[in-house]
Amino acid sequence: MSILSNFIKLFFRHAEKKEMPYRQQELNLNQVYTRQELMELPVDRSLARNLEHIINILGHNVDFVKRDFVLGLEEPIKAAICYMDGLINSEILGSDIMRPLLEANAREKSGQKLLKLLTQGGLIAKAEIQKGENFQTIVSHVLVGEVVLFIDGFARAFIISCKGYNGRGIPEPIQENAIRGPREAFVELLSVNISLIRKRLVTPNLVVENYQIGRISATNVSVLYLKGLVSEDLVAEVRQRLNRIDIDAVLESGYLEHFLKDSPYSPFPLVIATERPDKVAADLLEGRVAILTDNTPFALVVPGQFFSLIQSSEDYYTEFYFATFVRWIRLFSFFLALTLPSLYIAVTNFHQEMIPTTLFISIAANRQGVPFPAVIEALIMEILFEALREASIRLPTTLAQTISIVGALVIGQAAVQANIVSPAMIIVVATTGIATFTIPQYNLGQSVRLLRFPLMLASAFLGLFGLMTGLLAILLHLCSLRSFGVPYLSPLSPFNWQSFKDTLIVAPHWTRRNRPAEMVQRNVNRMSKNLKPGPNKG
Amino acid sequence: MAVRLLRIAILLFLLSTLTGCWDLREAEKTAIVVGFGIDRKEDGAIELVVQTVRPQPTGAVGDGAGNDKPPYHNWYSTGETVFDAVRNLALQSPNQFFWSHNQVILISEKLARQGVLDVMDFLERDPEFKQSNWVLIARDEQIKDILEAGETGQQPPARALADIIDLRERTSKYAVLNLGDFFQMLDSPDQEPFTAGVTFFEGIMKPKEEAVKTVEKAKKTFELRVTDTAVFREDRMVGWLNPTESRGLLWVRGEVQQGLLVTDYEKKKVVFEILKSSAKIEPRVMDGRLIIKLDVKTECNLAEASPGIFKIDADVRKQLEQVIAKKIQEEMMAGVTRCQELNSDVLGFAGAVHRTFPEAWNKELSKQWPDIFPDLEVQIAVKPKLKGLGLITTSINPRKNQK
Repeated sequence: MSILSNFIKLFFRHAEKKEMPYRQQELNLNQVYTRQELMELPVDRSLARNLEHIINILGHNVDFVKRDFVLGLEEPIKAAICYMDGLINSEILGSDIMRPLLEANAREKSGQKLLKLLTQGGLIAKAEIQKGENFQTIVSHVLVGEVVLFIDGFARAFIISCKGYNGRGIPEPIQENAIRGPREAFVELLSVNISLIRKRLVTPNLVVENYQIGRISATNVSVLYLKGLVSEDLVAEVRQRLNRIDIDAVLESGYLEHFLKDSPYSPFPLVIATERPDKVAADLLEGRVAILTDNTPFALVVPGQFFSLIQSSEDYYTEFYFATFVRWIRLFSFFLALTLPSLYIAVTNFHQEMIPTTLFISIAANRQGVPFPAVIEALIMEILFEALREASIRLPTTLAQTISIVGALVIGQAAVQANIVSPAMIIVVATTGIATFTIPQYNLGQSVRLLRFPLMLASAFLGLFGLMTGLLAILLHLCSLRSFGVPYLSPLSPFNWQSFKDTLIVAPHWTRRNRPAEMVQRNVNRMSKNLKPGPNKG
Repeated sequence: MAVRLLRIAILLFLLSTLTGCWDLREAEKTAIVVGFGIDRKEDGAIELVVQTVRPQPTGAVGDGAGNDKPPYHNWYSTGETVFDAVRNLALQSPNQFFWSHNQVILISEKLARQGVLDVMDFLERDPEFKQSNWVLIARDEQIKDILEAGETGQQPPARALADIIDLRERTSKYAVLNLGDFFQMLDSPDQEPFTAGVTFFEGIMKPKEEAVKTVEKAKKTFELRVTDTAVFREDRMVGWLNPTESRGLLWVRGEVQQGLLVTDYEKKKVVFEILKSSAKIEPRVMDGRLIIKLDVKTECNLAEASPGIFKIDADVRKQLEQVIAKKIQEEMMAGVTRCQELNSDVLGFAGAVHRTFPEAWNKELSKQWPDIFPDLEVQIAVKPKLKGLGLITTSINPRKNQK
């Protein structure tokens, strides 16, 4: 049955498209319409001319659909609707737009009366109707899935919202998982993403500003912030930086990230990229600004300091003792991921006196017959591990399983048995790998993964001295970084006690009365005083 | 800008490669020294015995092949000085010797009696020696035998020695110094150095199969024992303190923190466990003579008593405390007397006098000290405190109703 209906659908669709007389066979590749040109092209009173315009502009697209009809049976007025097939919801188009228009013909014979009824807001059941006066407006709306209605003798076009993307439902977060916390993640649809934040912050003070970035892509970019507590300078800075971007296309928020960084050459992420709406909401409440990009399931949040990159939204949903513990685990893992291989190289090659005797003996025993110096061994293993990791991301999920088995066997078992690497090195590489996975922000993890290679070289040449030199260089760099004017290491340096409660410790919510002072200067209190629970407090 | 940065980065990288890892030493190319002995031959040459561990891979290599070889290897080397002998090791060993994991330095008694200054200089200068190394005197025996002594489990004898010394406070029957303290006392005019001796004793429980083994193998049933304390005058060893005298030395230094006091009370054995102690050396001038007053405070615990001899009440407790005081006094007196006989101020009296009467010390006492020390009058006051009584007030006694 369903096969039959599908077949019928296919057939009719095919037939419908075949009828389209206006498909231009030869397409002029040099014909380009600029924004300005389209703005200056007004909607004409003549339907034929309007249709000619729009067919010239869009008619060569396969998915462009034009449908003619008449209003009224006596003294009929010609009309037509145009839309992009696939971007609209055809059910709504049928039930809310086409059916009322056509059924009206049966009740009312006069075309003029029907036109009057239409302009006064009758006839069309769909709620969102705008009037377009020039072709720039019309085209830009048609291209995002709206229906345009031209009527002969009427110098306006009706733009009726009828969006029906084949988007996916709200998925679970993939990269920023949480045991406790909402299982919602952003999707590719900007409007859905905004609604995900809107439903968390139900306030008229949530401002959504819209930008179109991209000469060709004209990607919608929304800037979100909370009026009344966000710093005006920050908003001005974000606007200015976004307005500066003049680029062909923004296909993902990562494009914007490159343009928004204060230090464009820094390997560290200066912008938070998150897929969790609850994290964005929390960041907005701290006076940050979120930048949502259409077609991107990631939101950018600025300013992004180091400590905001190692926070996970789950920290605030669990017991604060445990959250603090986990925060320390993460910090420890950060240093482990950065330094463990280089520490191993430095200590086993240059500073053997630092290792407990028994451990040193067993390292020496394990390295018997290993042909490479520890540095080369470490480099081989780390690069192999990174390759394995990259392979498992790129491969289809079904094959990723295979890769992990091959990786575990080849690298883990066989390499040791063949005496190419020592078991101690496997432990070091594996520990480093696990440590990088604990960093909640993927892009911070990437910079750590990258930076450990120069550190390994430094400690291979100069031992702990080289490692410390490298770490100092990184520290100096971190200290010099700023994200939208906010020092990267704040609130640790410069120190601020109120915001410190959310860095090395995670204080309970009732103690964190103030918003972070680096971002928020007005409306600093999150809550009223003395909220600590206890007896005789009501 | 980026190009310039890149250039600087490349330059820095190339600069670092110029150093060429000169200090690099791979773990498997390292001979890990865990103990070594120094002896002097008849002709004055220094003889070294260096014990390195033989790293045995775990897991893959089973017991079959590995068990034939002991977990250590001894290297023998001679040279005109210690460093010369150390460098001569490179003639035999494919691996570079690494001394930072060394735990025990054995010095032969013969060398110690001749003076240790010659060998100590290298140990102080070389950065690889840790100051926490234990300095031990090999009593009578050849160092070689001590470092080859078997029956120390799976570990090299030198590590076994270090582990034995870690338990020194369980008995408090010998006094031992680590390298750092030994240097300090050797260098100080206020104090003479001392340290423990190592010797063998015949194992009580010989394994059955020893009977069929060769004579050489059978020798290994002799087990190591750290015992007695060697005392020095300046850099020469002058004699030994037996365990009781060693305990006396430890009491004076306030270093008895554990150990047992085996005493007689009403002709029965009562054993006390020492919980802690502290000592104060107080030089005084009395009737124009210098005397040394020693105050020792200690806390003890009744640990063992012959059955059914007493019921502890306030009186008994007082008597027991007197017994303890007397015992400690005896031990201290034995130690002090022996040190005076040897004329070796390992007790640190000189330092105490120096601190109390600095002017007199600087003027004359320091020069006369070797004459004064043997005849010093020493007064000992012990304040014991018996703790932890009460739960078991009487011993197990099946005959208690027959009285």
